[in-house]
Amino acid sequence: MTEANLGSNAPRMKGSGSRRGLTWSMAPSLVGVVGGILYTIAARELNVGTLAKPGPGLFPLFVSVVVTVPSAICLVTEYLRPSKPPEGLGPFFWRVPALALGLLLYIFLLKPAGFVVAAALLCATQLWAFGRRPWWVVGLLALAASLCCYLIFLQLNVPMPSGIMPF
Amino acid sequence: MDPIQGLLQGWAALSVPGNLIALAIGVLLGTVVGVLPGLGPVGAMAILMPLSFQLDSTSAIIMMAGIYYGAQYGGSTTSILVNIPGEATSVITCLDGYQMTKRGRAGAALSVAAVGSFVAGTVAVVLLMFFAPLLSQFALRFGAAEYFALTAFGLLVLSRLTGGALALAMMLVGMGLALRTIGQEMVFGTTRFTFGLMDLWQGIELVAIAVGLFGIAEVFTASEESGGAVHVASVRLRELLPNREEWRRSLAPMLRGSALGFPFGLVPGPAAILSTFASYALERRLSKRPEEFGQGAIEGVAGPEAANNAAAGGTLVPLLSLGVPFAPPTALLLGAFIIHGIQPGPLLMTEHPEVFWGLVASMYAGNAMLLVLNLPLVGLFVSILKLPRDILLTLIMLISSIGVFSVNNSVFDLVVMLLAGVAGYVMRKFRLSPATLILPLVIGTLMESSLMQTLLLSGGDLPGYLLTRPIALGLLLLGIFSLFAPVIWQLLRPGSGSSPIPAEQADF
Repeated sequence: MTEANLGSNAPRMKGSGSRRGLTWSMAPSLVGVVGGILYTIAARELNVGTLAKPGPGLFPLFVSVVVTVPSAICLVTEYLRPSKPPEGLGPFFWRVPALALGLLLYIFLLKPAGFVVAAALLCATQLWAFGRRPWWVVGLLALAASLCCYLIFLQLNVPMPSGIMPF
Repeated sequence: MDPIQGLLQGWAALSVPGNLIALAIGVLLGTVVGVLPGLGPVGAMAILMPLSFQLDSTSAIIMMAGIYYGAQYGGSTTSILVNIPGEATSVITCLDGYQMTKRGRAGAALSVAAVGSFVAGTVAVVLLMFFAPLLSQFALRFGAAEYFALTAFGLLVLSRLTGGALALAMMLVGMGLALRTIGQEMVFGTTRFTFGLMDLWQGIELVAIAVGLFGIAEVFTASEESGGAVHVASVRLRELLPNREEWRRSLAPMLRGSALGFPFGLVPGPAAILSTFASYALERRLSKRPEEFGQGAIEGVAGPEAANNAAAGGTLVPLLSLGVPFAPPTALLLGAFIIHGIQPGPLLMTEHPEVFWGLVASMYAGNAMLLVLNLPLVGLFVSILKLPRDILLTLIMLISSIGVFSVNNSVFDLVVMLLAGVAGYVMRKFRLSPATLILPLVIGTLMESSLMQTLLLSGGDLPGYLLTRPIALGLLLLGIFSLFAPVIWQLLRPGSGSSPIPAEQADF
């Protein structure tokens, strides 16, 4: 379900070639360097202590080196000798933000509206994003899935928020 | 307690109906999720872990272990029937397993894979029974320095074995450790990097990260593909029996795979996947018909399938006897242990003998269950692949989100899951292994506390102190050597590769 089936006509990210320069493949190491520097600054604000009497900031400082130094090495290596470009986006890549937004909606509604409502909306968003079924089938499937899950997990003593629902 | 006595106690613990039912549910659910492409043992365990929360500790651990080897088993079914590896350890099984299916020998391939897994699983349990107590006895001598060295050794070797550039792997290890430092630390009680959020005081929930990186990321990745209908070869019950020639050719590879796989499980890294590659290479080298490999050689199914199951058994040894997981599935198993208030390690056998020996007995029973149940039910398992993709992915998303919420009844954990899902999706695009992030996240706490204690004990003279702790020094030197060995090897022999497996396949 992962790499093997990616469509051959998938839109490609702007990739890296064999020539040196700024490329997409540098992104992870760039994130590592920036994140590592920010983490180092935050770690230095904690009490580092000494080797004989270490403080709570010593281990984070050690970790910040483990993040920043390899990231910087990667960044330079990628700049000088770019590796393979990242994998291309699939033909239906727009579904990913749609699914993420559906999940975000579920997260915000779970406690105030209750599991059944939030889960039904989550399922409806997911099924709608795939666009294979008419809206009323999507609605019925979403409601059935959320109700079934609610009852099953209730039986398993895993209570979910009831929210506005009476049960 | 000697191993035989312990095993009898384990059987007694397992004979409780609740434990047997937990085991049956574990292996069945594990197989079902293992069949789904992309969701290997780690994904299966992460998604299904919350089901174990309401069980007592013995039943819960037995169920989680059942999910582990059930998922390991389920992955091979789709490799053989539809040429889609259910998980990374089944990649090699595709080569000859699917060719056998095309030649009408799918039933034989499935049976050989099942029997191979059973033989290897049983061999691994016997070895575990004798190895784990010995290692536990040895580990009783371990102090803070040894535990720090052990965790450092694990992370160093892991970063060398996960494929891709070393610096990139080290960066991921560092990021995993950095995530672990969020929240209240254990030695001084100071809260770190919480940004005023109360939800971060207890640290980041492992289950939320694991489900996000493996479950949600898989849903995202799969959803952007068109994903046409999967054609599944049908297998009748009477076709399941291999012929005499196939049995004869499979027996030795099964035994060799079992013997080869177990030691792989004892060292940090993607033990199961490495063992399948090693077993395949060995069988090809030993075969009188190497040209048949890749064309449907049954040895190419029997050896690797046995090896990955033996390796899975081997990975339990460091977890149970040292309390340190060397592979992502055992890292999640450690998470389950801790949730149920049990700390695996040298004292597990004396403090919780019913859990340790119950687990060992359950592995015997679980392997037998997989053999007896799964072959007749193979059609049912594979029919999961025929479920419409939109419904399948929606259900995975829903069950994942219920599972993560139920750990702490926390909406914040769901936010973490979503962020981890997005991160996992992006990591896949950049061919980064999310598994490299999980292990440091699990052993980071032990690493920090043991380092702090070691520093306090050393009085600031760490090198001098380590010279008085030969085990710790040896482990650290071994870890550093493993880090640079491939570079030295490359310098001596230009043109040889440094990574045993490609990064995109190192997903455990």
